[in-house]
Amino acid sequence: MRKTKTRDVDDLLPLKPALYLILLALTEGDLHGYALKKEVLRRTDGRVKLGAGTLYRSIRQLVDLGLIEESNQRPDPALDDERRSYYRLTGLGRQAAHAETERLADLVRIARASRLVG
Amino acid sequence: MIPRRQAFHLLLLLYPAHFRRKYGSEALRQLELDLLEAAKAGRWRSFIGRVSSLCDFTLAGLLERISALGPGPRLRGLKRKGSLMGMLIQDIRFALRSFVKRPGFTVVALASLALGIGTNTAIFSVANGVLFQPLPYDEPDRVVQILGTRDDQLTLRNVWLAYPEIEDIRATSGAFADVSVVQWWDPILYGTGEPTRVFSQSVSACYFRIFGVRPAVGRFFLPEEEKLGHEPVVVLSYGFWQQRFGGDPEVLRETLDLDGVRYSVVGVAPQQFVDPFGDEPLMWRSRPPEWDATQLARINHSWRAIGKLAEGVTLEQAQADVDRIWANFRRAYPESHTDDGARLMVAKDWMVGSVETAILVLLGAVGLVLLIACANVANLFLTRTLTRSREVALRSALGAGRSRIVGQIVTEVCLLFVIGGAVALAVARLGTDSLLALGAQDLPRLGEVGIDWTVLSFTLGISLVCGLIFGLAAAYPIVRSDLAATLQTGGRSLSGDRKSQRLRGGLVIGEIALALVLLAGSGLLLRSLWTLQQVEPGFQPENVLTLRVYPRTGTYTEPEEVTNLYQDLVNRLASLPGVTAAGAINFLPMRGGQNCELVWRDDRPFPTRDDLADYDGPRCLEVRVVTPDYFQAMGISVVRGRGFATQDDQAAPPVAVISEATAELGFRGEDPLGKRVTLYETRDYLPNISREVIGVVSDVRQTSLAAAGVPAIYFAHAQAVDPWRRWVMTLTVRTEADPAELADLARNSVWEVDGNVTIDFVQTMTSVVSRTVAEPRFRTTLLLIFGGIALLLAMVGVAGVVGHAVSQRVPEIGIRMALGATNRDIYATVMSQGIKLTALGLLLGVSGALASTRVLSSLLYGVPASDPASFVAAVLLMVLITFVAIWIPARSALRVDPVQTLNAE
Repeated sequence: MRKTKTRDVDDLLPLKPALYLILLALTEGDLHGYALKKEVLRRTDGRVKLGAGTLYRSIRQLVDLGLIEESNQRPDPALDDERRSYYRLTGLGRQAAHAETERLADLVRIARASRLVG
Repeated sequence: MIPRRQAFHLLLLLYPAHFRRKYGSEALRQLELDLLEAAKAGRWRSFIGRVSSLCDFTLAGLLERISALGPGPRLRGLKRKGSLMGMLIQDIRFALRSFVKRPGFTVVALASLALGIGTNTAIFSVANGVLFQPLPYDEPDRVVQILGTRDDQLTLRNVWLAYPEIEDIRATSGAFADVSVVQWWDPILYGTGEPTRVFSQSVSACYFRIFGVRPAVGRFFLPEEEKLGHEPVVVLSYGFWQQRFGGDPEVLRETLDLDGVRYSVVGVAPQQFVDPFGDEPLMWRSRPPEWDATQLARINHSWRAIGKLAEGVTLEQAQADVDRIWANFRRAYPESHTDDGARLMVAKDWMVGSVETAILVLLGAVGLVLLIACANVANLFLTRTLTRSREVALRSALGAGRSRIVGQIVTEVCLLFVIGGAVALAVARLGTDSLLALGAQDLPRLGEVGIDWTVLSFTLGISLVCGLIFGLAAAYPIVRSDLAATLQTGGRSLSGDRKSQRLRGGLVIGEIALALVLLAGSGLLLRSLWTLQQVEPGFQPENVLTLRVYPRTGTYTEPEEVTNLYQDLVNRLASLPGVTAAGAINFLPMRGGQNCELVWRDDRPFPTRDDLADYDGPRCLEVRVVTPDYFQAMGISVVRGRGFATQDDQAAPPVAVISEATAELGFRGEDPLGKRVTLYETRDYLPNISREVIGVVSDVRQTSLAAAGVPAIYFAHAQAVDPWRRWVMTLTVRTEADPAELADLARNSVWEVDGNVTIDFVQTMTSVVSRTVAEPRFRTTLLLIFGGIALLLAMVGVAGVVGHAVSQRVPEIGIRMALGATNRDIYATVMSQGIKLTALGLLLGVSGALASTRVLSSLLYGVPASDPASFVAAVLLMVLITFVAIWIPARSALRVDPVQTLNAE
């Protein structure tokens, strides 16, 4: 069972940057679309600004791939807006984020070995 | 106008239904939030932010739609990529084959698109270079002009400030990191070869620090070069360095003889540096010795100022600070500060302000052309979709899903648009070149115009977006029609045809309406240009040659010597064969140069502040210095009294000639002749001389044809005391034949009198006048071209729709002819449909034109934006063209052979 899962995850790689960033943004808790956009913006120091179309298209893809799912947990109703859906990482999503990180780290290691970067 | 929210809902339709259901409302809300956020940024940044948000939303929708066309949801996921790609390649191959099979269709469609997208790319590349790109400074948003105002109005005549005012801003305002004084400086460069005038600027030592640029070679000015009496040093412009010194870095060892003073070259400005005032100075010197605030009057407005806002200071805060300084001025110097003030403006806004409207109008115009071109192509595709409906139905019966077929059509349209886009780039390349050739040289920031990545992505973007939208429109009948029924009726799906016929009719109505808007707009500009060219400039520009003369510095030290020099020059020119009169003036009309001074009647008490408070007319007269035959040479008529004569020399009583406007202003209902007036000089070393008015001449348009004549006063050159007003003069020579032919002879004659003078601006007066209408002529030409293209495209559209209708009705026409219908009956039937479309299109177009030509108001001269003549002309032209477009297919209806059609049925 574990073996098939790993193969599944490998098949998903490489992840598109937008998908990867969304997965990373969700590692620390459930977020809704607007908060996701803000979190990605914050983590990339304002360099990656996901437009509305790209954001929801990415969410759709991640949900279809089973990497994230809609979350039932809601914050305090007073703070919450009912129209917003919250998303959370699935186990597969966590694995995929991890595997993609490994893959990128490998690349960086190779690049370092070739003394291209310090 | 579609309301914003509805427009967004339309955009959402790009997404497949399952996406809309699940994410639609949230995505829309997010889009609105994004747009709100973008709107908070500065003007252009917010525009770009909003456009990119919308593009992102559109593109993501398209991508979702394409994903949805892939194999069903069960297979979607890991293996999707390969098969989708495969399908796309298959579709592209299919599309290419069908293009080749129908060369006529392909050529018409591609030509429409190439024109539509190409004109857009060309104008967008201009807008991108001139309006959208920031100035090449370190922090362009912090570089501001400090512009003088009168009664809070910002006009070109009043932007000048007094030197002490700028010094006070530097000393007392905390809002600026640096403020530099800027003044034109026109030295003559002596050395090897002919002495040449070098258009340059005097600036403060901090000038280049404001822009945060680095010198290409050497250094910029040092702080000690701001002190009075420093060593004379210049910084060269990159272009001048290349042209004069071949880019030699050894230039730093050079000294230049400028007006007899040796300046050391200390540095070269970087290649991409642009002057924030839109001038193109060849060099800069730091603070000249005459910039001494203690010696300069507060009413001598001859300087400009540019500053850099201090860190963290906003434009509004800095403006408030400048307003505070002016309030202090009014308290401390009530005589010199009554209605003046200063306005801050970000450098780029000031630079492009004059052409912004024109470029945006042109951008709008080419946008309309593109819409028309797209409608045309969609129309062509619609026709084809219909004729292909049997094939489509067959493919559907063989198992192709409806989305698959729609996808194929959309691919085909998108591919056509992308190929069209590529052809368009070639058109745009030619277009930008011809734009420059057509006379766009006077645009500011022209060096920035070119086809770069922004322009390329723009072209690709509009090609794809338009392709998709109009591709879906072309696929519409397939979505709507009953494919099985189509197959049964042998390919002639009546319901689908009727619906698409309506859609096509709608497209044509839109085309006619848009083309009419463009035609009405170009009609208005054309009439405005014509009106402008009919304006009487107040002189007769035909057969006049002009040359500007600069005596060599250090020669002619006595005033009489200058008088004699110009007398000799004028006499020499007047004696040339074919010359009827020759004169000279210090500032030639329409060549720039202002000298507005306070002149007052001797028999009236000098105005007090209170007198001036209620007065809102002109506060100064343009002062011009002329030689006796100047009025005759320029064809300026003397309305009363007399012009100057040679007897009006230094020894004779001082006299003046005034313009009609001046007479009206100062002597309403009186005879000005014999009255005395005094010019109150702003420079202390000049005496205030009382002069007798001896004549009145007609008003002259001093700055351009569009700007009304300003009240002026003329002094005789021999009697003018200010050396600055009489040193550099422009000679005007009236000839019997073509004045251009006299140019060389005139130049040589001047050098025969004095071989050391510098001569420039040798040109005919007609070309001087024509230059002032170059910009309106340029935009009118462009709009006319776009109007013409629009007309052509609309004509093709109408002919296509009517032609298709005729071909569909061949059997009916055949039967009616067999039953005895006359030619007239057939004409009437066929044409009535076209006429209905045209009438609706015209109705829509006239209302659209009335609503939209208002944006042209600021570009029009002497014509209201709702000028009926222009509108009627546009409508008539449109009617004529559509009539031809309807008549051609209608004529073919008459060639229907009833026997043949009946047999076929």
